This record gives sequence, structure tokens and C-alpha cells, in this order.
Amino acid sequence: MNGLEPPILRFERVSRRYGRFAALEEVEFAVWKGRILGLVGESGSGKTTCIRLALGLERPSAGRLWFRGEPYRYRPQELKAIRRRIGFVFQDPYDALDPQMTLEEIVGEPLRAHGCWDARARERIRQLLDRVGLPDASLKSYPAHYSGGGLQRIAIARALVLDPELLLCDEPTSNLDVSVQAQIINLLLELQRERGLAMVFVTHDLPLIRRIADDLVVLYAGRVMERGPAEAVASRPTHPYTIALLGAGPEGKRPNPRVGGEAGPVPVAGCPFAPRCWKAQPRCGVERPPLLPVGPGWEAACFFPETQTQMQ
Amino acid sequence: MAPITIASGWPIEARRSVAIGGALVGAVGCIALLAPWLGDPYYQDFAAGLSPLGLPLGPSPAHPLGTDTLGRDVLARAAFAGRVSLSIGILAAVLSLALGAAVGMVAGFYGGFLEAFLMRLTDIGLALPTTLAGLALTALLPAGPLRPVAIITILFWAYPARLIYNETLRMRRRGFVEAAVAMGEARHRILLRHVLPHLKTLLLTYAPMNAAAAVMMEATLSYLGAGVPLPTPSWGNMIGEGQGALAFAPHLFLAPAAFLLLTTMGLLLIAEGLKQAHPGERRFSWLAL
Repeated sequence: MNGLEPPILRFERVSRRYGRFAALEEVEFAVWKGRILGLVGESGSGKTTCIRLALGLERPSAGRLWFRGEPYRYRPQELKAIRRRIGFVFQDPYDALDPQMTLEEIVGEPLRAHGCWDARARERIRQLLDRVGLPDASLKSYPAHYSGGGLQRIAIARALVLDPELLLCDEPTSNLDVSVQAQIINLLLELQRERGLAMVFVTHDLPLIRRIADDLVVLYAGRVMERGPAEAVASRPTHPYTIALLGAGPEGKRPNPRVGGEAGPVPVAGCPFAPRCWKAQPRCGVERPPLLPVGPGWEAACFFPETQTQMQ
Repeated sequence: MAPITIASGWPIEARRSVAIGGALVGAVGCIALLAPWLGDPYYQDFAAGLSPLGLPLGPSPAHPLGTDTLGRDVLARAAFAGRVSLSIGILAAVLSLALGAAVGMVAGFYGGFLEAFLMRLTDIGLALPTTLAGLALTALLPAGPLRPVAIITILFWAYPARLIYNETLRMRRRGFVEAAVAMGEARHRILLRHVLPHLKTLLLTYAPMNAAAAVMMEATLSYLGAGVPLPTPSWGNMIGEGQGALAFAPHLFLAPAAFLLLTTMGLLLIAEGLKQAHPGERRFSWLAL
């Protein structure tokens, strides 16, 4: 934040292609200590790919990732050193925890993986489970004893057991009951504040991310459409896609991507959103709009950004 | 660990199958264990062991299953043959399953060159015509009691390898396996701590079927004269010998055949029961491999 300290995580023109399909194309963003970055977009926009890249589960086809000013390297020991400092919470808590392991084994697994298991490990696990709201959980119990919310709490405890600097949350509440979602979100926010964590929060829920994030990156078909301070982007969106995502497009022309389902085929040239955009001009189908500044620390990849939209 | 060995929650059919199968295999196993007390399988009693015409005797109190053409006690021979056939079959079944599981897990989990190499090897293993390849290997390998073990292992490992490979591929995509990778856990530890425990039930239900097939294969090899060296009895070579006397002394053929049948039936019943007891597990059959 002081301009000298490097961001905890930075994506530098990161692309990820599978054959001819580009899951991510020249994506750039950064997350600083103590701040929450919201990553939003429809399914298939490349959000989860970002998380997988940050965890080293995949490698970029082009571009580079940085952790605290050091580039990612993919030799086992170097990757392991980065992974030690990253906690993560996946979307499906029923799949993310091994059903044949006890709570102690699950939460303690990062400790064991990094040779940090010691005499006080069990006590530490106990404290963490208390902290995430499972004070009565037995260390010898199995995931089958818990509901989705409980499982996600266990996953959060596991994510924090090594005191990470970065917490990656991939739609951590989308598989949970509505009644539980708010509790898990609040828990994550408390922990993030308490520990000064840098956090990446992936979701397709823009109203939610507007409440919790400091910065926002809007992805569409693997490209950054708009990015900037969360409050500004969410209250005065300029990119037609962001506007559509917020459900604010002009009546009748609104592509309403959240209700309308899948995006169609993405054009090879020009703006990927052009086929669904009510403002598209011939130029949009030919030329790829670069990220252009629309405000302080705020950019949109659009030739014809909206400037009048006002969300309540 | 999930309590897969506790039968209390199993459906009645599953428990019945395992109980009957276990009783059959157990009975044959007991007879095999008691072999030394059942008589000498090699003693050729030309005086009392043959009829005045020199023919094998039928069942009698002295020889419960009669005698063979050389006046040897058939029960003693079948019991000793049980030791040979069961130990060879079960040893080969365990070895082939262990080897196949290791190959399948490594190929499915590590990917890359190892996967390509091991799975092509598996394809070759699956393409071998079992009996013919068994005979060819007999000619190639040095004789001895371990030769049939080696042959059956070589002929059988590819089937579980394929099965475990597919299952490991599925496991690799599971959230908790990816999570373990993402938290920096070493790959061999993930394989042992996450993947192997989830393959346990599959291996357990596959094992008795594999054992049944291995016992059958051992009988096939020794029937064809490619098993343990004579005069060591084995159900296969006893069936072979008995075949010649089928017209006048059918018990020489029927006794070892019955032992073989009871054993494989028992093992298959156990396999069937275990499968019924784990309905959530993926089904497999010899054809679906």
C-alpha cells in the first residue's frame, strides 16, 4: 500500500490456452496485503483458472505470475515454498475434504506436508476449529458428520493452519444453503481482517462482491473487461458487460448474462462481448479494445464505455 | 478408516454369499491343511491299493475317495494338491493384484511418459492369449514351484492395472486430491494417503475374483503339464491323469474337479457378496475391463 511493498500476488499478462481455446488471455491484476480482490464473471469466464494458476495447479501459456515480487517457478521445491504461503477454499466442500480422513488429519495435512507437525500441532488445530466456529468438533470425527457449512468451516481451518499470506476463495458459498452463506462470508471477512490477509474472492455474485471487495476484476471469456475500486466499479459501471452483469442494461436490449445462460461462441477478433452487446459498433468486431482508463485506478476494455450509469 | 470389514450393516444376501463362500473355501483349506494326517500322497500300494485285476479302488473306509491307478490314496493326493494349488493360486493372485495396483496407480497419477509406457505395457498384457502365453512362458522360465506363480502373475497383472488406472484417473480429479497437491503435499504421499485408501474397497472386492481365476489358471497349466513337476500332485495334473481312467474309475477325475469347483465357487461367492455389500462402488467384470 505504501507503493514500495510488492503485491502479494500479481498476474502479469497471463494467458492460459488449451489447444486453440483461450481460457485466459493477457489477464493482469494484483492483490495487496490486507485487501480483497473480487474476481467476477459468468461460468467459463476463467475465474477458476485464475485460482488454479495461482495455486500452481496449472502453468500459464504466456505471461508470468509473481508472489511477493518473486516470479513463480515450477520446480517442485520452489513451488512448494509458494504453496506454503497460500491458503485456499474450494467451491464444493463435499469434494474438497477426504471423507476417509479425520478432522485432525484434514486440518493438519498442510502441517505434515511442510514438516511443521510438532507437539503443539494438535492444540493449534483445536484452536483453529474453535475460531472457525466448530468448538465442539471432535478431532477424531469424519467429514460425513458435518453439513456443507460445517465442512466449509473445516476447509477454512485447513486453509489457515500454516498462517498464509494469501487466501484464495473459489465461490466458497455457492454450494451452501442460503442461510449458511452469510455466516461463512462473515467468518472469512473476520479472519481476513484479523490476519491482514490478501484475499482473492471468486464469485458470480456481484452484489455480494460489491459489499466485501476492495478491488474488482470483471472477466469475460478469459479477458479482463473492467477493473478498479470495487465501490466505484459496482456503483458506476462503465463496461456494458459489467452493467449487464449488474442487471442494469437498457430494457429489451439487456443480454442479462446471469439469466441468459451460456455465452455464445467468442469471436476471434475484436471484443469478445461484442455479439451480445447493445452498444457494439462495427469497430468492436474488428479491433480488440485495450484497457482504457475511465477513472482513478479504474480501467475498462471498451471503446464506448457508459458514463451515465448509476447503480443505487 | 471406513469400517469396510464390519459385516453388520451388510444386506442379508451379501452376508449369505460371503458366509457360504467362506465356508466352502474354508472347508477346502482345512482339508489341505490336514493333508499330512490324511495319508501319504506318494505311497504306491500295489498290494492293498489296487483290485485283484490291478484297477483303482472305489471309496472305502481305508480310502475315502478311493485309490488311483498306482494304488495311491486319492484323498491324500487331493489334499496335498490343495496345498499346492491354493498356495500357488493365492500367492499369484496377491502378487498380480499388488503389481497391477502399483502400475495402475503410478500410471494414473504421475501421467506423462510413465503413464504412456506403463499403459502400453498393460495393453500388451491384456492382449496376451492366456493359455498359449502360459505355455510359452513355461518353456522360457526355469522349472520349479515358483514357475507357475511367476507365469500367472505375468498373465494376470494387467487386468487390475487397467481397473486401478481408470479409478486413479477419476481420483486425480477429486477436490481433496487437488487440494492436497495445492497445499504442497508430496505426490507419493497423496497416492498413499488419499488415493490408495479410496481404492481399498475396489481391491478388496477384486481380490477373491482374481484368486478364483488364478487357482483356475494354475489348474489349467498343470493339466497341460506346465505346472508343478510330477509326481507332486496338483488338482490340474490329477484331472489330467484321471481323464484317462474316466471309463473305469471316474472318481480319479471327479475328486480333484470337485475340489477345484468348490474352491472357485467359494471365492466367486465371496466376491459377489463383497460387491453386494458395497453397492456404491464401481462395478467391474472381466468383460468390462
